[in-house]
Amino acid sequence: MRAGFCLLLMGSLLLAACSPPEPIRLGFIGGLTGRVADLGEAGRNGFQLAVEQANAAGGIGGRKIEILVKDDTQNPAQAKRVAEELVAAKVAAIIGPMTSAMAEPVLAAATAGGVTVISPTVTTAALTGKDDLFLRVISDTSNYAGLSANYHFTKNGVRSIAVVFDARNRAYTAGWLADFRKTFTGLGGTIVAEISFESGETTDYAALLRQMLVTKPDALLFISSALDTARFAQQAAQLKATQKIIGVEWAATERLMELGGKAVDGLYLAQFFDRDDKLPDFQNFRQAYAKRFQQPPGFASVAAYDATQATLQAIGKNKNGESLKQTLLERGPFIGAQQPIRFDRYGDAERRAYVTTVRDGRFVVIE
Amino acid sequence: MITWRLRTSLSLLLVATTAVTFLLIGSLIIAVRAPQINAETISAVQESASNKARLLEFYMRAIEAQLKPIAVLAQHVPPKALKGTLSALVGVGEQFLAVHIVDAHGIVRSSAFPNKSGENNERTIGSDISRTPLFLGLAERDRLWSDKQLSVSSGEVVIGVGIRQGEWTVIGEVAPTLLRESIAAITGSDQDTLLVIDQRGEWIADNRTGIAPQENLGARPLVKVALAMQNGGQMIDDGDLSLFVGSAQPPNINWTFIVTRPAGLNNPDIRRTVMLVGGGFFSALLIGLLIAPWWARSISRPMQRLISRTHLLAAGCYDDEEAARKRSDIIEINELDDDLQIMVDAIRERERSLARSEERLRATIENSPMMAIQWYDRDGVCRYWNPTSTNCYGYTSEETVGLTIVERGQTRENHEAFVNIIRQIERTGKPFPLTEFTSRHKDGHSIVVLCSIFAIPDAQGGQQFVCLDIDISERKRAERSLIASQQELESIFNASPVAMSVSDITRGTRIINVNEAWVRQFGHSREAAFGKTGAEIGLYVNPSDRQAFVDRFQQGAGIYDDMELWLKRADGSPLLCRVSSRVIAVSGQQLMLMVSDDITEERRMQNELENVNAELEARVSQRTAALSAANNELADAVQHLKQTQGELVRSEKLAALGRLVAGIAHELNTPIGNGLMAVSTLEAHQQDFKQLMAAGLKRSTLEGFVENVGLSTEIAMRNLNRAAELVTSFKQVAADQTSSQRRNFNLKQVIEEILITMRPTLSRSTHRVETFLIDNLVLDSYPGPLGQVIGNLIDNAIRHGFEAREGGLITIEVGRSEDGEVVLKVADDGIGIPADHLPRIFDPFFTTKLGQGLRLGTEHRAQHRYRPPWWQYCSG
Repeated sequence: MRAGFCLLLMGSLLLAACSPPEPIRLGFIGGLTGRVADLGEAGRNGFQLAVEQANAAGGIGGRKIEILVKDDTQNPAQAKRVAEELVAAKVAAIIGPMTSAMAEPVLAAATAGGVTVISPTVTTAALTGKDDLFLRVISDTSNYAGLSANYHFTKNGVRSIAVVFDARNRAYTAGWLADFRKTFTGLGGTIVAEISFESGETTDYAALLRQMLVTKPDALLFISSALDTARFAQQAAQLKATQKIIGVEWAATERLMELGGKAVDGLYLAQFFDRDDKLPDFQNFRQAYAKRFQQPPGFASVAAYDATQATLQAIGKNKNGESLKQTLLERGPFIGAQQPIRFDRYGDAERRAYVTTVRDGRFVVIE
Repeated sequence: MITWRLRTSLSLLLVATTAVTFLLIGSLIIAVRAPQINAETISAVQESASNKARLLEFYMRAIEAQLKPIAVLAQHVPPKALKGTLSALVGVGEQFLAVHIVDAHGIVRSSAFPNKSGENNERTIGSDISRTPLFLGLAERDRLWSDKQLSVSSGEVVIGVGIRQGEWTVIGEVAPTLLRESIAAITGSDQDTLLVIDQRGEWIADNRTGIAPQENLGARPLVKVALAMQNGGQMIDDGDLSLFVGSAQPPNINWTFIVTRPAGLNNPDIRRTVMLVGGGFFSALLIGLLIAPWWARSISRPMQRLISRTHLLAAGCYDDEEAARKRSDIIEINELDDDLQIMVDAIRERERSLARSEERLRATIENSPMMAIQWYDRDGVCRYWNPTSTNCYGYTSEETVGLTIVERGQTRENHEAFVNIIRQIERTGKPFPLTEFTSRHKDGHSIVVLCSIFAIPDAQGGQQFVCLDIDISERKRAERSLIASQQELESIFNASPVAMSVSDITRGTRIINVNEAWVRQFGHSREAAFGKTGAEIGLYVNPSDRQAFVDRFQQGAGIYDDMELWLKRADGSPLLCRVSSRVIAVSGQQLMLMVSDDITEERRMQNELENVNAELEARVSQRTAALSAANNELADAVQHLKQTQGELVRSEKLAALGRLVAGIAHELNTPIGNGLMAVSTLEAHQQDFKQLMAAGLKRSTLEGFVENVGLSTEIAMRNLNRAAELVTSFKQVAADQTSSQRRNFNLKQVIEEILITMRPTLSRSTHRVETFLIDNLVLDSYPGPLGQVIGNLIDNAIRHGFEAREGGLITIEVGRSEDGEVVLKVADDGIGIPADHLPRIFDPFFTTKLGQGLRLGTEHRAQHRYRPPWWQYCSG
């Protein structure tokens, strides 16, 4: 209405003068559909919350942040395509992807476009120690895998273990398994079975579990997503397996409880954040998140939030002629939800790891 | 300031009128219509959202209805037995991606999946879904739809629907796409935009929103508003987001249907209205632009003609008859034209009369005999100087115009004072009142002027200052002399020895002034007399006298002289006054001047004098009687004397006559003797001739005779003529001496004639007479007595003057005195008259020689008779 009058009375030429400054565009890539949608959704929520908080605070240097959310559908080709779309949209950085399998195609497209990629949850060790445009706010798999192996061997009495791993996210799962194996066998443990599977509609969890149980291990290790882990746990429960069940941090999403029901009670998982942390900053974040999304934050939320925060802070600290990656590497630490984020020269961040177990549908830190 | 041609102005007027009208009406329409549209749209979107929610609910109910029988059956039949039913229900997955029968603990007891893959349906049996929000939600209600969730059985994001019947629950998993399609079907070709989100802000479905489905939409302003809304729609107008929003939530599912329609210009209704108004505006502008110049030209052409005529008029050309005849088809312009013509006539008339008036004014100013008029500018520089100013100050217009008063000999202080007066007038607007100034004439004498200064507008819109001067030097002098004369009169009035009073007749004949003599005479002080009538101060002994007196004047008599009245002094003593009055008109007042001469004493003295006179007269008559007797005696003696004198005179005359005759005889003797001798000679010649002729007349004899005759005749004639002249002359002398007649006569001739008559006397003595006479001196007098006097004087001189001496000289001299009188002087060089005889020489009969005493007395008388006594007798 008012604009209409303006148009009539003043002409359209004058309007160009008062446009706001160009917004900062930030891209997100994650799996929002399909079997890892819980991870993707949690990451996206963390990403959105960080951006929304920054916008509410007036943006970065007066510039609003505009988000572009892309679904990689856990398909490398799709991941590369959406990454290219983001590069074409001139995003300042890409937050994501959420799974290691998608890291390579996304990074390829981003490197081609010179866009820095900051991943919340990609832990593949394949990218560790590389001076590229890829950064992440968590440690690589070896950290978690080592912690997990060490704990279960030394404190949980596990000497033999059967493993299934999701070949569709081999970049992560294989690395994880290798790191686990390295520590576990180093301690004297034995991996009695290493069974790969491809997560999908036709996955026969029961058969896979029976295969594992044949070896009579002390524990069952599921290197898989939350859904698969829940399904394995449910199968284990149905088969009345008595072995300890162990998951990976990948599965440690909030959906795990919904999907697994009582079957996931007693499941051990490595975590990189403490849900019960009483730090005020974390509590604030937690409340803001819960209010915004009607659910508590998961590790992916925290990681994505931290990645986005680091990126936004770096953009704020960025100086002319300095690349965003440089800023991220050199101008740390950046404030995260639970701990400061400090990148090493390869763009990897140290992050504290926890060992948790599920009790009555909740993660409980045990170490 | 921007100025426009009439045509442009008219065009602009027309265009602006149309445009502004349309703009105003359009704005009004928009202003009125927009809120209406807003209100309508808000309720429309709300209704649309509710309708869509309700429609979707019907659809969902239909889905629920398929699951309901299974839940009922599950009460009575083991789940496994229902496997076939489930499979049938799922079919190839058109509607359900999975259907599960779940027991009270959340354990899946039976499942069915689309049979396309042909795999077993057993894989989910025994799965625990007790912690899914859907199952948890069903604890409290018997049917529920979930948000988007990850299906544990299919690994897909699905929407779950659960129907609980007793302890058994049937859960169906529905593909979001299916719902999306349903929603699309519901929306149809609706113009509204629909967005469906779940309670976590996740995208469920939309049509044409352009919203990225990957985002969580909970933070979007639109979604926030929609979620916060209770009932009824709302309008969001927040910068670039301008929408009408309606929202609705179907029961049993925590989804929100958000229906939006663009607000502002993006709203079709508003846009249509605005376009209509805008289109109308621009059309009006366009039509105005096309029509206005044409129309303006047709209006402005006659106006232009009128204007150009006005220009001509303004330039002073009033005679453009052609322009005046052209008529326009616009009545007002014609009227204007007519008015202009009237105005032109009026202007011309006014100009003429102005010119006349100016001429008159100029003439008035120029010829004003009294008023010296000058114009000055605000700096005191003279701009105009009329001839009277020249008369007044002696400076001509050429010597003053363009100059200040300093240049004509005034001091700089005077100039500054003058400029100050001008500035004051300029400031206050009040004229400088009439004031006397002493100024100086060019030739140096001082003049007094009465001056007034006031401002009049000048030609440049400013002010100039008119100085009106009247030379009152003369008047001043007159006033001074008037005052002096008044004082003089007053002094005279007061110094007058006669008592005088002045009364005002018009005001009851009250005294308004009295002189000092009056005060002295009547003993009243001035102050006591002023303002009172004579009666009031008791002036009249008899009051009726005053009344008579006053009546007389009131009846119009102006003069009253010498009335004798008895008046009273202040002390009551009466006095008789001779009163005279005059009524005079002074300055419109009828004043009566009354002079009261106190004649009491005079009258008393007059009476005494009359008594003395009477006594004197009686004494005089006694004396007169005595005197008349003596007189008579004297008269007799006089008579006697007169007789004696007459005899003396007669004897004198006779003596003179004798002397005359002797003289005449003596004079005549010579010519007559000569004539006689010539005639006797002729006779002798005649005798001779006769003798000779008898002897024969010879020619020479004749010639000799003729010559002798001629000679003799001539001698005879000449002497006879001389004798005749003498006789005539004597006749005149005799006549004069006997008749004493007055006539014109030549003095020289008379004296010479007298001397002729005296020649016998003179010839007997040795004395001689010399004359110094003036020719042609004619007197109108009495030649007889004059001759007598001269004759007696010569006679006296010869007889008495020389005694025994011989050869005395008598001179007769006639001259002219300086005052034009004739002086006749007869003198002798004899012994003169003794000094003791001089006073008596003119007494009759005085003589030193007895018998000859009457001469000079006679002369004296003779002369005295005809002239004032001019005789002067000089001795020696």
